[in-house]
Amino acid sequence: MLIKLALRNLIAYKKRTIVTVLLTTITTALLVFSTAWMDGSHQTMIKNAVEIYPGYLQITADKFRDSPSFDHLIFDADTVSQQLSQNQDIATFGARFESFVLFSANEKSVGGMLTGIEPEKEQQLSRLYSSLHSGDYLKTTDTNSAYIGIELARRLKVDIGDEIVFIGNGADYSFAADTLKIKGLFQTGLYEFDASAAFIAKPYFDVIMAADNYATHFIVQPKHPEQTVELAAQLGETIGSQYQSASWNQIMAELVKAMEIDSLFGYITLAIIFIVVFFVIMIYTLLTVFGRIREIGVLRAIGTTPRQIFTILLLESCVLALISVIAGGLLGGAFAYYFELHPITLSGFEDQFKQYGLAVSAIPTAFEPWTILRDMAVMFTLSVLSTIYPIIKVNRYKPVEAMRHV
Amino acid sequence: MSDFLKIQQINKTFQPDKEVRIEALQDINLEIEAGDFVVISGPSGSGKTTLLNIVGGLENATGGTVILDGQNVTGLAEKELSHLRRNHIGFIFQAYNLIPVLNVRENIEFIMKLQGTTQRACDQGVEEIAKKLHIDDLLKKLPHQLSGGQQQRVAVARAVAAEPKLILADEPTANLDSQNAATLMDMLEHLNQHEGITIIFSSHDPMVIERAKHSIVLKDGKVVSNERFN
Amino acid sequence: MFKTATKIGITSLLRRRTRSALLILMIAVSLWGLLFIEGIYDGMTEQMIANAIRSDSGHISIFADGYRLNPDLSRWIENTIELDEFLNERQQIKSTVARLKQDGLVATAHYSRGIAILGIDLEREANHSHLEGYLRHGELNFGERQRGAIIGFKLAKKLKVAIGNKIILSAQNSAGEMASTALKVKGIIKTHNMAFDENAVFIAAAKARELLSMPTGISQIAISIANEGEIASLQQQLQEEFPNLTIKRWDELYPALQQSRVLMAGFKQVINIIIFSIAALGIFGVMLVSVLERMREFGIMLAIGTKFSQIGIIILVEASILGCAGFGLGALAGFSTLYYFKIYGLDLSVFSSALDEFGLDAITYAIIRPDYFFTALAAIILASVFSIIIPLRILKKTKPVDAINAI
Repeated sequence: MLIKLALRNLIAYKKRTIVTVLLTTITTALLVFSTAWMDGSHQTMIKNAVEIYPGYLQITADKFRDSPSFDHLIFDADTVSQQLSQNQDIATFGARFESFVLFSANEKSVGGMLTGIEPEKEQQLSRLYSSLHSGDYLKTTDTNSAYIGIELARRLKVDIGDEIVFIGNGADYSFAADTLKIKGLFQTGLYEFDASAAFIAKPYFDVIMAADNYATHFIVQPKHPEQTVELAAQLGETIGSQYQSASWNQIMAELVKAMEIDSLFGYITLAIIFIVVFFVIMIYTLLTVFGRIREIGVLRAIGTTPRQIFTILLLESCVLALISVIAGGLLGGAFAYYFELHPITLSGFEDQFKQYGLAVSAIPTAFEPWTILRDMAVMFTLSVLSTIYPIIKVNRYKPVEAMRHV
Repeated sequence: MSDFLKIQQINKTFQPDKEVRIEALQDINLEIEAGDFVVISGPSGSGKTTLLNIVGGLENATGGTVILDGQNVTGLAEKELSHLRRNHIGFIFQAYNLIPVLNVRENIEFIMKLQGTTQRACDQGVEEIAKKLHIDDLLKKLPHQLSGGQQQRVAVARAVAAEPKLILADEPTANLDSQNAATLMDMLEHLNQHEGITIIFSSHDPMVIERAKHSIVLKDGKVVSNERFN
Repeated sequence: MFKTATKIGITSLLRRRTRSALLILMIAVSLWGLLFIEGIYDGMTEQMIANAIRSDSGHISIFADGYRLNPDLSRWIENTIELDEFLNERQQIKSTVARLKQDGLVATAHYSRGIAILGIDLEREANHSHLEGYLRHGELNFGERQRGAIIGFKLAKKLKVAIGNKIILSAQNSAGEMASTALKVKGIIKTHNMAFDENAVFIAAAKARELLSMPTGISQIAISIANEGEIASLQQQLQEEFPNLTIKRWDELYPALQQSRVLMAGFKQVINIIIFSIAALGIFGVMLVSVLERMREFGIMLAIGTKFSQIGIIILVEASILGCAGFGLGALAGFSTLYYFKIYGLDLSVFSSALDEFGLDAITYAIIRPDYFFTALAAIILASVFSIIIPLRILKKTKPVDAINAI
């Protein structure tokens, strides 16, 4: 009976129904889509940042992370390699040796990073291979062939086939220098990286830098990237106390935090819109409920308890909120789904993205049903809560006052 | 026969602001027997509606007690009052006050539903009452599709549906033409005589007043006449 | 008429106290939130820009022709005397600073990194960039023998160096040969200009000239001026006077920051439109019901000879009172909040490491612009006027007699 009355009232008082449903629907859709957009862009940024070069999981010597000097190298890369190859959860892994050197060519010198990599393995570990811009990628058997960033080549004014010289320190702090021939250029889109990084095959690197069986770190590609944190913890225990294993959210803690603060500001902005929306819903509820105050008085007079009146009015709010959040969730979800498949491209804002280390202009939204349900639940609660005050207020009237209320 | 309704020393003062004080009812003492058919009359502002409201538990008295069938109404909490109104008192208003979004059948069975009556019993009850009050062909209509007289008859049906001991009707005929008013009075009389329901109504229409068995006249919040006929 | 209308308006608003209060509160709260967003977000954007201008580009930077594309020592500004004279004559210029720049390598015993070496006149630089405000550790002093260096905090973190530690700078000199020098870290700065905090090593100009074998010449002159409005005209004057130099405004050097500003302006507009459209819907609902409820009252007024336009004025006055009260309250709350954050700043140091990623300080100082309030006032007035159009049309269609009989 109470449900019937609530439903009839919703149909009878259309203005409130339409405004509430419309506003809640649009707001829910806005929240769902904004969340999908923020999560999507953050995931894209992090994924990019992680996958371009640093990798999901790094193994270093114990003290290397705090003090990245050649005193804290992995001095027995083969053993680590063996241990890693026994782990079932690892898809692939590879060793790297990073060193900072000065590159020169054509009377230009530029500081940069020269890294020895395992070219075949690296194909699965990072986007170096897929970022090939011109020339060729490295092979394990390559000797003094270098694969360098396109911006670095521009700064040095060199191209494929040209020679560059590097000067740096070997793993034993001895002076190291050699001439490298440029085999290929890469462009990841991360300006800083493209402007300073150069790679050569590790076997040759080991010879010229006296780094045989050494590595600064191992990159591990988990079989299930979403379980990286667990894998990092597990490896940390099995691999021995002289080594340290860190997952991407430790390696890139600042970026993760930056994304969080970006979300925070996003939610603050949305919150202010929500406040206005729910004020309007509250006002319309108030108007409708007080427009019916006489009827409510009559209901009370003929023996309906305040609690039953409360139930009727709350039911109305719940029905409206439910319809709206379902509609809004579907609408927002549809947009989120569509733009996950067809990422939004924001050409023209690449400069700004690069500033934040985002190497792409196409940003897919994140369509995540649980998040959408969470947003819907939040909006449902807010929508119903915003009607409580008018309901309580109208219920405080005595039946006679209500019937006389003009 | 013990008194069904005892109104003792009822006072009601309205104080809209500090300077103004309105004595709406002053020291009202009345006794009404079960099965009585009472009219309260008097000029506008004499306190008729206030008295009915206090008896029905819709309004609190400033002082005094109302004892209905042995129960002190004036001391009840809001929840108990709701219960009392739902189960023991039927209301009929001057402006009919049907629930606009419910049709006639639903309006009548609303209280039965609140009482927890089953759908089947409701249906049966509604049919019976509707037949008695000659509104059985209106059951599917919405209030705004009915004439005033029809609406008031539905209001009576609603008041009766809960099988109350007492019906309170505040100026039930004021919005009706004389013929509809007469029909309505016939109905109330019938309910009083055949169902044994005590009925108290207010009016200032002489034609309506003369049909009561017991006449109470108020003036300026005081009882100026209280007589029983036959 | 207005007096009467106001009186009627206020009386009827008071009669519906809850409703009026809610509506005023809604306008006030939404305006307050809006002002907060605008002031804080603008504060952040302007802070990023100010940091870039302060630490690097100035409002205008002067480079030798071609330096921007190929920043090396073969392209330097030579005629500094003439340029200095020209700049000294310009009253609108607050300060200038000259820098000698070269890419190089910084190394510690264990670690090395590519960086930018900046040879500066510390006193001028400190005056121009207010370096003392950026200093985090140590002091702004290159030492008596000019063997000190001031470096960015991110670089210090990456190199794991602290005050007093030794670093070795290597760079190619003007003859194309590698040159090195050992320096001590004397100061660590945090400019929030990411390029600087990660890459900059400030050394004494004389030391840089010695290292790079550059007895004369300058890579960049950064100019700060008092009034931002004069940037473009100064750029033009400079370009006319020195056609063979590259003269760039800060927004040409930091297009991303200029874009942030544009993006922020657009973002604020969208938020403004959303919030005020919703608020207008709220005002509309209240005015509509208020007119419908008073059909009878208006009917009587029309019947006794009140003109329709006069009733229109009463309703407009009512809507305006609501709008203005909301505006007044919201503007006051918003202004006080922003004023507080303008003086004391919004402390987000909990997120400071993350804020570094955006080039933001831990404390954001709000900005208060008059146009926030003008825009809001215009929007609220507009919303109030729009909100009464439909109620008035409904009222117009109703005949006085029907209106009187309406319950």
